[in-house]
Amino acid sequence: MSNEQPDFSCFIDDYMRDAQECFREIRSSLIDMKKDSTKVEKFEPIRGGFHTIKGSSIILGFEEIGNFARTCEEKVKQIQCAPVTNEALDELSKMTDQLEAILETKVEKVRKPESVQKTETIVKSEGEIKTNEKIPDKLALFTIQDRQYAFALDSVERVIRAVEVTPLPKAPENVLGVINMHGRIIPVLDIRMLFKLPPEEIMPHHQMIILHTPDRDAAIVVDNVSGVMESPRITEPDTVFPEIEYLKGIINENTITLILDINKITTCGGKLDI
Amino acid sequence: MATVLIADDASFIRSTLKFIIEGAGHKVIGMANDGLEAVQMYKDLKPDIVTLDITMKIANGGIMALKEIMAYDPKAKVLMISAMNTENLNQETARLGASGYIKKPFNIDEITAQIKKLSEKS
Repeated sequence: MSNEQPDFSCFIDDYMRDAQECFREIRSSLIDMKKDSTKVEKFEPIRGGFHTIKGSSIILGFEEIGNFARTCEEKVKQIQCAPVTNEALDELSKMTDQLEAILETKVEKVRKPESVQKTETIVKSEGEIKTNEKIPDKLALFTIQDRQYAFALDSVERVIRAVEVTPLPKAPENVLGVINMHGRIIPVLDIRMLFKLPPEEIMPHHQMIILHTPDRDAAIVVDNVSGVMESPRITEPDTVFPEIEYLKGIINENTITLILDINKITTCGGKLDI
Repeated sequence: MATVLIADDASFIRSTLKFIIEGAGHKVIGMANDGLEAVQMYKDLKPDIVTLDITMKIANGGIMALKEIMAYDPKAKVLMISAMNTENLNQETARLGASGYIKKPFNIDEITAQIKKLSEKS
């Protein structure tokens, strides 16, 4: 069994709403206890609030928040074991503020990833700065003929094993044909032709990436989908690659990864209207 | 394919569980915010499987909901959800009739295997 924690960050708004509700309940219970320290039943919603935040944070992979919420929960149990003092309640109140601050910072970061904020502009090689489309913060990686490429993850609807493509008699030469995916007819683009690579028969070990953009859906055949990565340092495409007109950027770390421009691919560089 | 009722007072947990369970091909037919709602929805919807958070803090916790659901339907298949992975608690919920438990943080394989196992039981 896999122990890898899946990415549930798409539910970040639910997480934030729950946390805000927990903080409201914790603070209201703390105020009640300061007014009347005999109301020990108020410890339960306080402990429960920290417990909920702890569980959800760990599921989201927010270890720091999860661990701090655990510390808060343990603090509640510790305070419960002794006569309640205002100092102890003040300390708990302070810990609540700290927890809320680190949680809000983290959520803000997840909602607006640093890589997206920083890539509003791209410096061209000549030194000119041009405004560009945002470089995506998460990339889906795949290979074609031993070269690694990437699409913005949010443009990838799904990846399927290669299926038979039905040729269209009058299709443009850049279109291999269509596939029927649960009743949706999706054109399969000949990305090898776009990249000036020799043609290759579609085999069962190939994979198809189903792309979804506001303008159109399309599929491409690739050798292998290798995973997802956070977008690190990205530079503008250089002219050394023949597929340059379809590129959005390049990651040059251990391996060169070419980030493809989804709109250029699905319109075959503006030459295709399907 | 099993029909599932999810009961948890945290909407984040409800959403992630729904995502996992539906991703495994089952149908989530209801989501309850607390124990009382879980018991009522169990009676109304008659799901194949229920997931119950042990520590639901408002209006009847998971343990009380487990007791009431088992009293209403002794054949109910209930999976308890908890971050507290303690043997005592598992023994207690098993004694009360729970079919199993799911611990947090979630492991997709573990959840889908448990749901599959329960859905195959007649």
